[in-house]
Amino acid sequence: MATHIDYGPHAPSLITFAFTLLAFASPASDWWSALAPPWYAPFALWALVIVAIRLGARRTARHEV
Amino acid sequence: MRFELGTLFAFAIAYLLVLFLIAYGTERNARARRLAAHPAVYVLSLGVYATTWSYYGAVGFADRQGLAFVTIYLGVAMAMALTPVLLMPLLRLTRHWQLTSLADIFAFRFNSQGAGVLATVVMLTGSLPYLALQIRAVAESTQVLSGEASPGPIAVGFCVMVSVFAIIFGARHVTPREKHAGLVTAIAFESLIKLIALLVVAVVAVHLAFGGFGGIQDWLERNPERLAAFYAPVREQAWGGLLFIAFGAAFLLPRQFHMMFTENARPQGLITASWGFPLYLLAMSFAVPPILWAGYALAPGIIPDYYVLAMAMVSGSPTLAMVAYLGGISAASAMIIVTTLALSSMCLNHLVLPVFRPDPQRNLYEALRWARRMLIAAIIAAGYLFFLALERTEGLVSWGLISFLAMVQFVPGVVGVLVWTRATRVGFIAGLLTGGAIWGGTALLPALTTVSPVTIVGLDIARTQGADHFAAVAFWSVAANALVFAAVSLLTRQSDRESEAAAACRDVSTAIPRGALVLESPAQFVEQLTSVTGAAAARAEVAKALADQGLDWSETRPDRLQQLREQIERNLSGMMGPILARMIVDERLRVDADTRTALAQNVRLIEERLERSRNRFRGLAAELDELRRYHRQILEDLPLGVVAVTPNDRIVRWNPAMQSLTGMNAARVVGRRVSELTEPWGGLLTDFLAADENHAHKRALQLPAETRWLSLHRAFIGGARRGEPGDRLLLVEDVTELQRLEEELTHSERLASIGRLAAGVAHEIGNPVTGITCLAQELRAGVEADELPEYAQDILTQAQRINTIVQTLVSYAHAGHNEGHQPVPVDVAAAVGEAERVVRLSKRARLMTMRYRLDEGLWVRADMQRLVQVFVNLFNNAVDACGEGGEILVTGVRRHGRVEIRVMDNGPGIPANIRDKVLEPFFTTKQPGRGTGLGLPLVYNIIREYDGELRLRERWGRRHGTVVLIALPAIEE
Repeated sequence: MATHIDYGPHAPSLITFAFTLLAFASPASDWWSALAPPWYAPFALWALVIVAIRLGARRTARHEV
Repeated sequence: MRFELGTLFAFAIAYLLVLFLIAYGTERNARARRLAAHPAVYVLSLGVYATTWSYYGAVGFADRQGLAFVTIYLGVAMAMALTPVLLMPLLRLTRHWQLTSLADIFAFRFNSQGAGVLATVVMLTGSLPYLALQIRAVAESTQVLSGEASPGPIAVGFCVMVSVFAIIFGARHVTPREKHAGLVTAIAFESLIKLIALLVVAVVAVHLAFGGFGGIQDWLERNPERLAAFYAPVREQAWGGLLFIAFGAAFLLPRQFHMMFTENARPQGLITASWGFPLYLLAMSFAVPPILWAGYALAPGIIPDYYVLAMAMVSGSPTLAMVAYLGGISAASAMIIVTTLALSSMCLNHLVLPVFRPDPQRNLYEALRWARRMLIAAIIAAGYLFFLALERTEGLVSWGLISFLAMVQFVPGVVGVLVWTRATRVGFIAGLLTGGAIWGGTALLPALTTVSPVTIVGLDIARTQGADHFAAVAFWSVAANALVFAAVSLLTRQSDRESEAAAACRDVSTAIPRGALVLESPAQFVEQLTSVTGAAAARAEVAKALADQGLDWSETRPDRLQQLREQIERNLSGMMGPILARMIVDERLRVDADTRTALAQNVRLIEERLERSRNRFRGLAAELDELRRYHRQILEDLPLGVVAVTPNDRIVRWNPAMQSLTGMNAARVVGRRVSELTEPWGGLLTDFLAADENHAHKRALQLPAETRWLSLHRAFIGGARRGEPGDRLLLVEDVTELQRLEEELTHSERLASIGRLAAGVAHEIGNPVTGITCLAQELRAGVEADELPEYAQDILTQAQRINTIVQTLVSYAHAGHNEGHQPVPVDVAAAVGEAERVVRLSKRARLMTMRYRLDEGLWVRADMQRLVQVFVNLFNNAVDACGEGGEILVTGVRRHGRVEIRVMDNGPGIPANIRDKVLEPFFTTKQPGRGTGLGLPLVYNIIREYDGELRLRERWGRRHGTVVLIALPAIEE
């Protein structure tokens, strides 16, 4: 039988925060900026962060409100 | 393209009038208010973050720092990603304790007016450069469009307009519980306007410069140095520092805190904002690089800070230029209005009210409202003075970053509030003073003067006000702040109040109210508060708190009054700040700390706290909570009424079974004294609590509609400490149905007995009837006149005999209808005699020998007819068992406070293998039609009902015979 593991309402939030740190405030940001991607690429990455927050927000709503 | 100054001024005024109309319409129209409560409006209202810095200055910032301009928005996205762990706890804290600002939070958490004052001063000082930035942006943008040299009158006019707006729509309510729906809608509208204006300008600029968005990439490929310059700052030191600054500013800036927490109507809105607000900022910032590069390509001959206006002017469209200008007015006015509202509340609570107490003779609400209005005007005036004083050679962004830097000084404090319960007031103040001093010396003063204090001592670290400088200042000031905060906290001790507040901030408060409230009714609350707030405000505040708690003016329950007191403190906190509210409540709504309150009295409070915290329990705490719920559910689902009563007779638990039994719900009953319950429940439970016995079987309770039968049981719950009186648990069992069944059973059994007696009765009646017949025949034949009286007497004697037989039978048959009969003293001998008379109606019984050896004065408490039923059943059984020549011996003695009655016969006895079964209903050894199998079970139930015992034995020393031993509590005659 599959066991459901509850990581709590904060897990998606912390994972998203960690991803944002990795993408924008770590040597990874030095790496992608040095590649000189199209000018809108950082905004696309940012949009990805927003999608992740949106997905986590559903879980937050269930627990918090 | 140039505009007349008057035209620009007129459009700005017209735009602000539109804002007035939106705010006014929202306040007045119910449908508009519902619309204002939509999460989208809340999300847009958070767009107040994007000021003229974002609208105009971001392009200049991107010019100097490339993609680093985006950090100011990305930092916000990072903070919003932490909504569940960072922002929701803050929202819960502000909503529950009605804290209107960050200064309120610190004052509450550290139980210190000093902490509130210091936070207010830093916040105010830090915000003034930002206010000045808005005024400067409006003035300079007007200069750009009009070509006028002096922006002074424009700046003054703008300040007056936003002051009027803020005073009218931002200070309508004095308590955070009442939201400014009009203001929020107007701010959301402003956010929408500036976003649309910026996007329109970006689209037009891109088409003018590159022929479309596809052309941007082509232009960048032709100018690779531009793209390289765009990405280069990502790898520089300032990048991380700016992200951190924006992270803190996202929720610490007064305007952000105000819109995010104070004006939050529903927690759901914040969850929507966690992704909606970053999306809004993404849209804003996405427009910046295209405008910058279009400016490079079109070279409008103006500094990049105002490329937004320049692009509109280059397009040649006065409409677009005006839209772009109004977008800037939107950004500036929204920021000034919300910031001054937030600061005015802080200044009122922490700078004004601690010094000038409201006069109780005046209307408190009006006084507070006017004080806020004056503060709003004063703060905007101070912002104007800063605008005049600040060095204007730096870009717009520098002034903004000075403010952001001031706000991040609160990050260690906020972490302390949310996470570190060991943090102390002294630690917080020391840390903030340290960080604030570094900020003042390296960021604020260099902006105010060309000679910084650091330069004076020979080290020019404030040489430039660039992003690198601010990032470095952010790191060092916050690091020093946090270090001092932690070190001093570890070296100092908290007061009890501070510890309680620390636990409350983490929502792990275990403190329960200590002592007993001196006041006993809401009316007394009003009397006490009148001397501080005035009569009208005192009554209004108590009424509000009563409504919040769902109580009414007749409330007298101590735990509810304690809750009322806490609610009043919270409500006053929203108006006057937590420290002043606490002082007022402590002084006027006094608690006698020497009076101990039982833990059970606070059970409801503790359970409410646990319910609120349920979602946050993890691991063992979650399992313990599950266990608690399981145990509570057992009590709730019991089919018995459960009532827990404290030593001072207050009810602390009243389960659903008790609710359905009494018709009184728990919310109405819990906290009241048992004697305050409506009758007959109050009397029943009070008497039982006072009684010596722990059990009471089948107490009849006369309700308005019917009689119910209840069995009551009492248990003592041990006290928390040795020798301390504990609570009492009452179990109330409704046995009415059982009682009715038993009564029906008794009646059936009685009727069955009558059936069996019928032949004997006929025989008994037959004899006197025969006698009367003979006498009648002799009378007809003729008798002497002097013999007539004798004949008549004989007939009467025989008729009387028939009457006695019939009366005995009727009396026995009707004895089943005894509903409502209460036990009364009964003479056992009389009951046995009556039973014999009934049984003797049977022919077979008349052949039995019956002997009694009953002591004098054997009295028990029972119902006479039911006790007769007991003996009738036992005698009938003996008669059936013994047959002709049988003998029944009844003995009765009083021993150890009980009456012991033995009914012995000389029958064959009860075989050992069925002795346990004969008390079961419908078990019989008699022939079909001779017995129902209900006689002995009925006897057993009646005896148990009167707290007696029944046992069956063999006759001692005899081979045959049965002994039925009945023991009942003895009473005096």
